[in-house]
Amino acid sequence: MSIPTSGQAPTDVLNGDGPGPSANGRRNGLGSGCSEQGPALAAPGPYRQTPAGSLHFTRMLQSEWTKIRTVRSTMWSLIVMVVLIVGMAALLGATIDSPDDEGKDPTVVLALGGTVIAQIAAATLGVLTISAEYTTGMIRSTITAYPRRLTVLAAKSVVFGVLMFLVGLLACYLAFLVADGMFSRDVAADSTTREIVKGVLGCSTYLALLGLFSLGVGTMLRHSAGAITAVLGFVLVPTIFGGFIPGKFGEWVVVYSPTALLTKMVAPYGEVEGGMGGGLGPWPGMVLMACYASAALAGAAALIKSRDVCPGPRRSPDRPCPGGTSPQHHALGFVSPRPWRRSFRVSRLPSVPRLKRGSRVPRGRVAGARRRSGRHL
Amino acid sequence: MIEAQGLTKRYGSKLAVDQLSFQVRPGTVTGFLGPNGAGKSTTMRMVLGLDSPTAGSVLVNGRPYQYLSAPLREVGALLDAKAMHGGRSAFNHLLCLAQSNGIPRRRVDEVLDMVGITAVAKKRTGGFSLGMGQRLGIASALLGDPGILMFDEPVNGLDPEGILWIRNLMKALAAEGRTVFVSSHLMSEMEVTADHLIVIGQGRLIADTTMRDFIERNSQAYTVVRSPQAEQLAGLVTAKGGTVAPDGDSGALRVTGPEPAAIGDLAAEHGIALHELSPRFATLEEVYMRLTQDSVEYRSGTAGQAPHTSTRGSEA
Repeated sequence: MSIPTSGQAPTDVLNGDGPGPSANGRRNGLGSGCSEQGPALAAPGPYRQTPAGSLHFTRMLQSEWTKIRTVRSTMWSLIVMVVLIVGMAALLGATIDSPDDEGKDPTVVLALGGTVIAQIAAATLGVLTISAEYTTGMIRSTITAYPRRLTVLAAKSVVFGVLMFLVGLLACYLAFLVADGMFSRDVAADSTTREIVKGVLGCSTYLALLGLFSLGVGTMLRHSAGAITAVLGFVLVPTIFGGFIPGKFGEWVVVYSPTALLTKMVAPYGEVEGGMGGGLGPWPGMVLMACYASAALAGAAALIKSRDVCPGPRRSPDRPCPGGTSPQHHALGFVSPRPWRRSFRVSRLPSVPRLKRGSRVPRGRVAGARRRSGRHL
Repeated sequence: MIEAQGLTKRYGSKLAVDQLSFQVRPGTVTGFLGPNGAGKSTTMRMVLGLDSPTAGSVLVNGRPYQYLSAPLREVGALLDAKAMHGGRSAFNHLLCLAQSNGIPRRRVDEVLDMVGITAVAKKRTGGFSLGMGQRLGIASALLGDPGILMFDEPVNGLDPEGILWIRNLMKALAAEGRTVFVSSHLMSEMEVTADHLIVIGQGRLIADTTMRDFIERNSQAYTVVRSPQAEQLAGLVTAKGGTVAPDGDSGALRVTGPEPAAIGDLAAEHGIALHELSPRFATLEEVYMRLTQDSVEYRSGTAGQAPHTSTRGSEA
């Protein structure tokens, strides 16, 4: 057993020679007696640890802010959201140029109509903020660096929620300015300040809350496509199909669906209280939306705390955390990777003799099998 | 210092780690060996609090990992090279980890420099090769200048130069008095790196001893003998109480029992020509293969022929 000398160690590798407060291993482990030996430690500017102190929430907020701003999906989702909101306002502003029959000012409704579509971008970003950590494996680095998982979830939620609210506020106000500028010559009565504030503030609140709801669902499902589908189903399906459910229940489903709550924020005061099939007023609606988000986040908190970070409960232990790509069977804890594909292969492919690498099989046999099956291999 | 006490992890009906107790001490490189599915990675994840043990406990510097006030400053871990978002640059990946532990920004530049990926620091990690990802993972382990380092298969995907680098790095880290805990399938690699060994099979502890001790206690010295009158010699050796077995297909004999000198004398006495007479010691690999034979969970069809292939890769 030959051991090469450590003199070969690159000199810049080990400049961690500072007597840091947390370097317990080094304090205890001087038995080797060679801790000051060799050129390896003569590195320029040794790193000295500042006292660690306790874990601060602000540090985690900083970290999560770095995370969210340094991936492209954030930028793209936000751009799509802003473009949809402002673009719809400009489109409607350009095509509609008169007040409605009752002489009401349609500015707010038309300016913020785009949020109904833009909420999809908000939901997507909310899911991706956490599910991308699971599908890429980043979550292992995150939890290793900061093992208090509820704090991680809280910091993520705060950073994401504030970002979504501010960008929503900006987009909605911009949309209002665009629409207002286009309508101003045609519309007699200006919107009341109260309605503008309700529309702009309400829509951005809604986008932030829906984003947080998505974040919660993403944490629970841990899989991007599945969670986005689930959230979009929750947002769109009750609004579209709720009306087909007979009786009072169907009515409820429509009235308390997220999109209906958003619509009340967009619609003028007079319409929301009487019309829209009753239900909650605009701001109580936001409270309900906050309840949806809280429920999702509470579920997320319970699961993130109790679940192992890597495996599902029935995952076989010889396949540790899936590497770069983590298909949903891992996220959902299936045992066998792609069982359906295996059965598909067995049942559908022609019975060609399996070739071992390097072994020779008469060409005629393979070709014959090809002809019989009518497929190319 | 890492201390495991009766560590147990159960997945459904399957016991992945079974009553594992060991200590990883500072100042040495401790190797962690075991066949695929033995529970090495599961154990390492439990040390880091990623998985919670079904029973037992594991302490890091005397506390559970979750209670460490700034974990990256005490434990640096490389669990797999791809524990990062492929869309984020190497610098930003390290920055967000550093920020969560209150490590200053310039330290990120330092560790990038240490592992030699400063040139690609602004590139997104999704395009990194396995070796570069591995270096970035090592950078994140070194980020907090921790007293304990854990590496799971650190030489995976590294080129020979990189392997030499990580080997020297681990030894130098241990020489500074840090605790270095490293798992690897490459026995030859482990043989030149580790001073202490913890061997597990099917989740149970098989050995916890020094490398020298492990090889000496578990290996048997033997002598390879080559002779044109092999059969006659085999008969003589057997009569003297030795054991003779063919050594591969080469026609040579593998003699266990008598010393090489005694075999040579015996041959000389009877006028038998010897073409080779060389003493051999089992390598770590052979010792390891013999010791874990019973606990290999996934065996390929050709078990026993080639030591390298007698355990199946997890991708099989």
